Amino acid sequence: MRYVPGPKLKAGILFAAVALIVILLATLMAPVIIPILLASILYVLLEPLVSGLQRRGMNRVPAILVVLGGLLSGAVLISVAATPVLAHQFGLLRQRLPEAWAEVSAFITRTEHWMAASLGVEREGSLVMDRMTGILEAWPGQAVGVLSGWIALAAVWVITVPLVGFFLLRDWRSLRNMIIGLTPNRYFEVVLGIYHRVAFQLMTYFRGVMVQSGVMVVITTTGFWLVGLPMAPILGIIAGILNIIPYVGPMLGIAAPVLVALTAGSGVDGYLGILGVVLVAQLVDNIFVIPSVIARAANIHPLMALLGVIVAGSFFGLMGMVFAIPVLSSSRIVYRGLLAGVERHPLH
Amino acid sequence: MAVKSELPIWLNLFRHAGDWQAQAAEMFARTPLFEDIPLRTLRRLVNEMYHRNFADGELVFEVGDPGLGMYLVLKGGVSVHLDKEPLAQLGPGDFFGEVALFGNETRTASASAHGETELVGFFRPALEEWVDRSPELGARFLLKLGHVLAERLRRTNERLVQAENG
Repeated sequence: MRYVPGPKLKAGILFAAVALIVILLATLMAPVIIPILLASILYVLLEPLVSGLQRRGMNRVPAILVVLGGLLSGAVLISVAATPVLAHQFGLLRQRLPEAWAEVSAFITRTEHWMAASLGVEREGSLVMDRMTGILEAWPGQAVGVLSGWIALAAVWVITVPLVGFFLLRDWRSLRNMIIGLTPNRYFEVVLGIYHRVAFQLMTYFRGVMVQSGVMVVITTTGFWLVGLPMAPILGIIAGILNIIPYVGPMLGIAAPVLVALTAGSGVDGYLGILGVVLVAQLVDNIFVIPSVIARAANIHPLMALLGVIVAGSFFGLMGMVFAIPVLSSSRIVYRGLLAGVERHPLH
Repeated sequence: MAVKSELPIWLNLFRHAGDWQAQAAEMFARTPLFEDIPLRTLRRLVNEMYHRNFADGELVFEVGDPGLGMYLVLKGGVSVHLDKEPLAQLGPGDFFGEVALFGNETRTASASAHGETELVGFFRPALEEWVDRSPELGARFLLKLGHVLAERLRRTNERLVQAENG
């Protein structure tokens, strides 16, 4: 008797084929994939503003130019205002670093002595200090390399992301219609339906993430200002943006305020204050923002989300972590849509 | 009804888009659904629609399929049928499948191409976006759509009464 695969297997094979095509495209476009992804996020965020201007009677291209122009002008103004402050803070950090390092090493030595006296844990030399000294000695050279690489990349992105964003806002609909139009008649409405469900899910998710980031910026900025940390708005914005990275972002968000607290010589109270602000922000995020804004949009099991973020992070780094949850939730919609289509119109 | 094979997928790549948008806008403007909508708006709206080609006898949709929107016959013809029972024969300028614009309804009848046929599909996501962008015009369209559906329901009721009365 001839084996006839069931609809689930057929949908699985189709899904694997779609995933393979997406991975192949992503591999081919690897050098420009990050600017394209960032421009796509820009598209998702700016599209409602462009549509809003269109509703008020403006044509699409002028509306795009007004919205993009406004965003870029705002970014330039913020950069111009922030650069002298940042330069001053980096200068302070450089001056204060040896002193801060002495404080940290004294604290570690005290802790190791305490461990040796009370717990009997004794080592020849200090393992922690040796490692940290090694890291700090290598750090300036590595940091210059990494920083110059990031600056070069950022310079390319500053030009490419708004440019790609402009073309996406202007031409995405016709390009999308052309691509979906290639679908065979029998599966056309199925594919169109899947596309719109995925697009809706992604838009809801990324807009939710932006709302989440905004809330985090407000809480951390206010908190840092209340505990007397210099550059509170900049540190708040950094913490809010890093919060986009699931699970790891909040921890990374502590690094910059701690460095600034070091330069300001805030002492233990300052560090505890930072920790308190970050904890309050995380409580608000996990109790109010995530359940009401993100969870509905992501619509996947928390354990699946956690595993997805870890796996994507190990393969694709921070960008993988940012996109793991939306990719997982979209995959779910695509598979279910394909299954419904295959059940209705079996493939032969 | 025999269902013929679909047109090859690669043909979609090389098909000249032509001026179907202008023709479709004018045809839509003559339907009761869009009679209150300015032609300028319709021309923009048509850019959000999909142009589809069907071979003679090819199914457009089948009863029970999840429906996403309506079609306008641009060229050729469409026969609407239920359980091999012909319900309507449509030609250029006619539209069908509009019930699906209202929600996730399944198709209530089957439709297949009669001769080489060109259709223009107007689907729910484009309608929702349009209503969001131009609420006033969208409301006018939805009102007309309601009228068309009510008229069809009234005619169906009349037929049922006639059938019951012998």
